[in-house]
Amino acid sequence: MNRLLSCIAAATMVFLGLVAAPRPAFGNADGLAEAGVYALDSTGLILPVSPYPGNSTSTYSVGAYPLAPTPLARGSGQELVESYCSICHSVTLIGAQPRFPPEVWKKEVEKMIHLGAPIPAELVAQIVDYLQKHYGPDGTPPSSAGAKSNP
Amino acid sequence: MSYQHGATPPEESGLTLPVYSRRRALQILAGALGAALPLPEAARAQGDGGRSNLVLPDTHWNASVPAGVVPQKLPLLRLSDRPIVLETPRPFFDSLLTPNSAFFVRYHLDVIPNAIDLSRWRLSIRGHVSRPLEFSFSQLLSEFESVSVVAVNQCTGNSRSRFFPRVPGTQWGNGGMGNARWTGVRLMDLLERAGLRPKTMALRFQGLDSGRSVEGTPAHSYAKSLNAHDPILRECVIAYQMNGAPLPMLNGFPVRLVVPGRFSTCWIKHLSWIEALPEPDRSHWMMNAYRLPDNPRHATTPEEVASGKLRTVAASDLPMPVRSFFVQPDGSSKLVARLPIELKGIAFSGSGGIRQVEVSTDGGRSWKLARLDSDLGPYSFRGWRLPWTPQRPGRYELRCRAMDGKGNVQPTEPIWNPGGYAWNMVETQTVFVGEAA
Ligand code: HEC
Repeated sequence: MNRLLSCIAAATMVFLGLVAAPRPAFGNADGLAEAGVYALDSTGLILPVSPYPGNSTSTYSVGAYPLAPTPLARGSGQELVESYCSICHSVTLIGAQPRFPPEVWKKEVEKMIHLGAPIPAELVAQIVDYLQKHYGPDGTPPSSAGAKSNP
Repeated sequence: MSYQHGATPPEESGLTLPVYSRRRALQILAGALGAALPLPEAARAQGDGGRSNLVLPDTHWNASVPAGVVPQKLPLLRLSDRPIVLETPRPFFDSLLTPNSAFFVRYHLDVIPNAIDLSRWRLSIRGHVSRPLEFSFSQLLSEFESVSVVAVNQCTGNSRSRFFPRVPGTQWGNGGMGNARWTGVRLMDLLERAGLRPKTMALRFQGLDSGRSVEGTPAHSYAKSLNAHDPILRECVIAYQMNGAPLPMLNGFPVRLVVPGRFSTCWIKHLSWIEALPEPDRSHWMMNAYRLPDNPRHATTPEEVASGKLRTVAASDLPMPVRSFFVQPDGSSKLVARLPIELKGIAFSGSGGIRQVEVSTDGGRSWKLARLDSDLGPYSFRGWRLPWTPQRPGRYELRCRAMDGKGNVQPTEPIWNPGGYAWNMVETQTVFVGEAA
């Protein structure tokens, strides 16, 4: 499977994408010309171009999808969570949850592992610790968590 | 249930990316952003002495998250940027057919098509069939009768933010739903051409979206099945049109499965593969996710879940329970004493359409029948309205309660289940009425 995460440092554009389509479930061509391409949208508004894309081929494209990442709360374990919890989705999903008690965060991490998260068993406790500390009932409120991060 | 994948370190898991560069990329992302995006405000305390800072939807209706703009869409409430999850703001429900540009979006996996080449795209039917077939987009247009159905598409977890204790998942307000006129070909017309072999148990549907997880893991692909003997198959449409236009990419271009009366979990977007199975589908998305407690209200308790004795049923096998909503007034401004207004809203059900909607302006003590708007079919939103003149200034609790074609009525008590699914409690809209002087 050919995957690429390319960071285009120019301006504020960062692309997260696939150069080739993922392997279709039943082999052969599936018409997927481009998939999983995202671009950082620092303005919060990638302006729509109209008419888009301005050609009459058989390929129907909508361009890149905007990324609007929310930084994680700063603290020990943050880097682990950033690397293991951003493979399949943005870490925004973490801060978008209610303040769960530790046992719920533990179950969430187990659920992610069941879904396919390649988290080594010996790192689970550290990850759960970080989540319950910062996103548990007594964690830092989300707004200040955002302000304090940004390495 | 296998947890083996969890033991695989990232280097050996088939991901070509070193973890470092991903982390570095995120640092760049965060650095480029400069400041944090506004996060949901902790809106209301939850009856535990005001100590809780759990986030609840603001005026009890939509999730309180910032809006985001994505291709082909108006600004919608952004619950997740990757994968894309967007909620429809309440004012769009003023129209019985939800505009395509405001229709909600929900993906599980983030490798979402950006571009599809119709000259190469095919819809294939395979597996336990007499004749495996492939259809191009133009064959779907020219070789099959075109049919239409107006149907509500609602996420199984719509309104999840109301569950208490709170449960993990997308924290939807009420906007994880929409109503559209879907036009396309009958699923049965395609199946008849392919010929289901005897003893086919299930039909599995899969689209072009996938995930960055290793092949074989649930987060690599999302597929859902319907029972091969489910009568709903006769109503299913493979839609190439939504409200008379091509489907927006994020709503499933070029075609999506429409399963009228059922939750969106089985309305597969970018539908490309239909597979007939000689055995039931035992995948994660059928057996672990989207399971409802097997009782009429789909209710349970944390204790019953912990006991391991809870019996569940696949959400895709059941009709959506009856619901109704206020669209106007929405509480965003005060009403004026003795100034007549119209209370109006929508209702729907997966069981035989809407028979009646009752409205209360006194917190549920007395109820009046609302007038129903024209009928767009049993699977559509049904508009309702009731004239009302608040006589005195004060605070009013408006409620609406629908009964469906099978006689089911919305409950007045909350339910709880661990997935946060199938919420359909009677809605309350608080409004303030001011002095007219
Ligand atoms: C292998 C891919 C993958 C990885 C890695 C992963 N997740 Fe997820 N995550 C998913 C999928 C798929 C969903 C959507 C699940 C659903 O809708 O049922 C999800 C959803 C979530 C949600 C939303 C709540 C829910 O349960 O749906 C949270 C919170 C979350 N993940 C946290 C994490 C954390 C924390 C980590 C790191 C420990 C992580 N994820 C790593 C695949 C992954």
